[in-house]
Amino acid sequence: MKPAPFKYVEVADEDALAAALAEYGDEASLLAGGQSLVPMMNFRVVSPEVIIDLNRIDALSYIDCREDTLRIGALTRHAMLEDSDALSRRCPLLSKAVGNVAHRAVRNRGTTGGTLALAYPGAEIPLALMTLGADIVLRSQREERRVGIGDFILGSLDTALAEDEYIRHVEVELPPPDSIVSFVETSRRHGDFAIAVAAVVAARNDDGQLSFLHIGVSGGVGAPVRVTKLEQMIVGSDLDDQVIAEGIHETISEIEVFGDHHYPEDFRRHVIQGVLRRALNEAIVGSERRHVQ
Amino acid sequence: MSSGDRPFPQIEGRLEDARLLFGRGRYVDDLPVATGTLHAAFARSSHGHAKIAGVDKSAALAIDGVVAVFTAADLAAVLDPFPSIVRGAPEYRGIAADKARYVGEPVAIVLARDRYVAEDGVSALDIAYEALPAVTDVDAAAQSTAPLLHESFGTNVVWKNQYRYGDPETAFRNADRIVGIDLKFPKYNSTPLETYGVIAEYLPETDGYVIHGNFQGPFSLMPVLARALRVPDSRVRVIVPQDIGGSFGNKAMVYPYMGLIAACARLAKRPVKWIEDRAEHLLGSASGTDRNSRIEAAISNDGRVHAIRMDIRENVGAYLRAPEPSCVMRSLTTFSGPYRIESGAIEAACVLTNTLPTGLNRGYGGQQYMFSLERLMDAIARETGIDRLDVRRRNFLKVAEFPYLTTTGSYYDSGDYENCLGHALEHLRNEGWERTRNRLRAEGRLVGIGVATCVHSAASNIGYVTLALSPEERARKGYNTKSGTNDFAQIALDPSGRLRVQIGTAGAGQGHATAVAQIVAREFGLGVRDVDVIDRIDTETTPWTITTGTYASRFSVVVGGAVQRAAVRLAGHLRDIASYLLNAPTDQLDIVDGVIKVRNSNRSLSLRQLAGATQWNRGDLPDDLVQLHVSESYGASNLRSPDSENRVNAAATYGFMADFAMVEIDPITFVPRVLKYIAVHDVGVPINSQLIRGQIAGGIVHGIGGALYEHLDYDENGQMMSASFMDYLCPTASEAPEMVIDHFDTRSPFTALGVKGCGENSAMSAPAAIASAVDDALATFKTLISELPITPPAIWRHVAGAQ
Repeated sequence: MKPAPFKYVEVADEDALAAALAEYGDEASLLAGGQSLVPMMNFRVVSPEVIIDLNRIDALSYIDCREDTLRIGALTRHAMLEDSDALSRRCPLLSKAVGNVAHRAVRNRGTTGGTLALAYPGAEIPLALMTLGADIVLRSQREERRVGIGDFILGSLDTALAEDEYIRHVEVELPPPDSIVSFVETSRRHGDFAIAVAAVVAARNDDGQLSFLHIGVSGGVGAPVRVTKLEQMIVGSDLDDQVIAEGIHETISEIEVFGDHHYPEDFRRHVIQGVLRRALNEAIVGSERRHVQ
Repeated sequence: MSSGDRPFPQIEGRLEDARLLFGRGRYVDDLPVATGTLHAAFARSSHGHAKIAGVDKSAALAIDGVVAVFTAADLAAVLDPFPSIVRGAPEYRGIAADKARYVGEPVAIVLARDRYVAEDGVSALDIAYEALPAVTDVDAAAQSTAPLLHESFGTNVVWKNQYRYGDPETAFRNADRIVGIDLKFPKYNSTPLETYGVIAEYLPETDGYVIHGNFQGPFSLMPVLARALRVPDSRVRVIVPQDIGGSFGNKAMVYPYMGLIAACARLAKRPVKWIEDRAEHLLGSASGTDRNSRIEAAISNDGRVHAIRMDIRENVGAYLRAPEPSCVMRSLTTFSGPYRIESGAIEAACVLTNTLPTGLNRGYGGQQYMFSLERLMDAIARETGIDRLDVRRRNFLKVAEFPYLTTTGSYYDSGDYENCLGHALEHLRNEGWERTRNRLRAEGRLVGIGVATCVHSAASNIGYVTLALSPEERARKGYNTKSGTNDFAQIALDPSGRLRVQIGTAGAGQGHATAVAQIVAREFGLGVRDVDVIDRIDTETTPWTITTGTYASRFSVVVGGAVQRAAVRLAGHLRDIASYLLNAPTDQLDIVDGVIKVRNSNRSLSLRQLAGATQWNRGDLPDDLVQLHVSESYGASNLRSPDSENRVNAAATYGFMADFAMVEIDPITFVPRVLKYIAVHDVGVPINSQLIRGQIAGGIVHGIGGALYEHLDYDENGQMMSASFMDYLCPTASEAPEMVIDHFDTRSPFTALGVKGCGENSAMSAPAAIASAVDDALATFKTLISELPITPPAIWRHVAGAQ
């Protein structure tokens, strides 16, 4: 498990990074946390000719909590998100999601930009961002552009990132301050990749009606799915258990689910429904409790 | 009080810890290598079954730093196939020649200046494969229509045999009921932290080899290696490094790689080093067998079992390589487990498939068999309506029956199964297991408790390997009979008066040095740290036998026995010399706190003074006094070769395990979790409770791995679906349950120390206990788990199928 020979380029700032990408483009891979890239190189699953190491670009590592939005620099380590009190107060879905990413040792190195660029199916941070709503800011020597996360993650391991582009930061729409979140993941062992995972953010209006509801699912579905149809069915409704269960069943049946040797499609679909039911229940009950308080 | 009754002195921690915990272990990769040593990397088959049409080395050889590329054809100049236990078995060379038969099989070896360049060389090889249909299921492979792995052999059933003990036909004819189940036990591994490593050199001046390898034994594999290398046994010098990072049986099967790397060294005329990486280890080292079986019991209505009928189809992978088919022997020789089952009819077949060849794997047939027998006991409970524990109790051997000769010739030394189980049950009650289960169930959770009661044979009799042959073959003229297990220990008093013990166990972190120091310290009234222990094997200088090695939980019985004998004999020599120097009869001398004292007197000698006198002033001592260096051997008792009825005492001792598991299954995701585990074991006499506890805790988690997580999983094309730790799931600390580990010991009357081995323990019984717990958790669905691992999709199918 030794990688093939490669050229190593270290860049100290964003201009150098953009220039290196312009020069090497399709021959290069970016090295941030390396938690996915390095094992893939060691297995020789990928053998990039050039590695551009951007770990010295401190300016890309930050968490900036504002009134309605949150900006996270692409090089922000998962551990920084995990340890951030501001994040756990203002964006608890992301806090909960990041705690499920592998193990702490991996979280010490892995980055927001890295996990987005990889778009591994079932990855927790992309799911949380998809559920909340976020824009990804991309830059190259040519231009800077902004892409909605739904247009950025195209499928399993597939994104809209161009060969000469890098991710600068993510802008997250923050949910109402009193919203309740639920993040339910199922995996074989603690820290494993998810078999199925559901993320829910819910908030009630002054009348106690469920007025804000974002739902996302991931795990065997390619890109994480924002289940807007189910949101619309539930918001403003009586929150009848039976209706919700049927709604889950119907909307999940319409999503394309991929089976594999280890987890057949029908099993995955069943489990996605299960974790979603659990997450919705937690959020609905939790938001009611919060409203009453 | 004789020393044999004194307790063993204890220490906190182990003698080995300081070295290992501070990074000063000396593993094979730490050994200095000669200048000019080449590094090897293997090209391995990406096909489960394929003809190898050609290997184009040119691009690889053109890489700067690549020195040589060898294929089977090149190596055949100096390396023969490794001999098999079964005559006429298909050739096994360790490297594919005309065909690749499993994903991961070595196809070529690249030698280069470092491992990076060697792997570049591997990537540059152009190997032409012509894919063939593959077969990975053991029953499918046994069909006459299956793709043949070895055409000239004509079938994939590489070995089969039948065994009959007692009178099973009558028992089945007269049975009140027959209870039968079909079972599948999976293919998985131990996952030692350290992978295989070999450094080899050929010595043209003696036509011999020096091979450093983290080989754990059994050293009966040494002649196999020597034969393949075409040199006499004495010309293969094997040096096992001071430290091995875990083995669990797996490092028995490094021997083919030792042969391959040694042959490379000879052809290249330079030493060669190879350190296996993790990807290779999963694909290409060795694994336990997977087994499809059917087991039936002839029972009376009160649940007593009178006979067993069993049909075993064992998957040994793409080649039958020594020491297989020994994988099935525990299932024959201890088929009755802890129960009074007086008859048995067993058919066993080893079948070849396009999967990784097998070898020793902690338990080695134990877990496969205990799963069958214990699932059968639960099935009997279900069919008769008798409680699971009562069924077992009604069949248990009773204390008064020991030593007990089973119908297969296994001679159980001692045991008190009823009370050992009772002790485990006490823990279950004290910990409130049933209360906890009921409370969780009231919350809507699926929780169950399971049980397994098993006999743990330890210190195997090499004779049992020969059950692979028929009695007629064994009776043939010229056949060399095999039996016994034995080992050496040396002990000396050095000139400064310090005791030094030398053993050769090929230990892998079990704490052998500590246990040995305790045995010796007890004999001389010393502290554990007052004794130095060297555990090292260099076949040129360390006394060894063909049964040497750490496997079958033999260490405490065999090496412990040799150490005890050596210590007693040395103590005797000390008394002889002291008797002269102190002018007192030997029976008036006591050795206490490292000092030899004359009883009822203040005359004494320290070990230092005695050593000094013997070393510096030997001439003034009587001529017939001996020097203070002893080499002893110990052979376990009662281990004869098999008789003409295939009866043999499989092992020197027989321990016992009473295990309980509590398992929860998530009702929505079907993810299983082991919440709690109780293990009460009989180890005869404990030398060191910390060591034993560590072994059992590790065994429990290993067994959990086999029951729920670990699976070397091949698809129907022979592709490996768990080729990395992403898919090959080892339990981590987070998956380990709360464990209660306790003893209920019955001393062995047959071993020098009264000990019974304990290394494999719950790795063998936990899969059965967990399956039993899952059935209890899913009781409303009336499952009978008969297949492992118990995965979420598998549970879902059971539940969905029942609804």
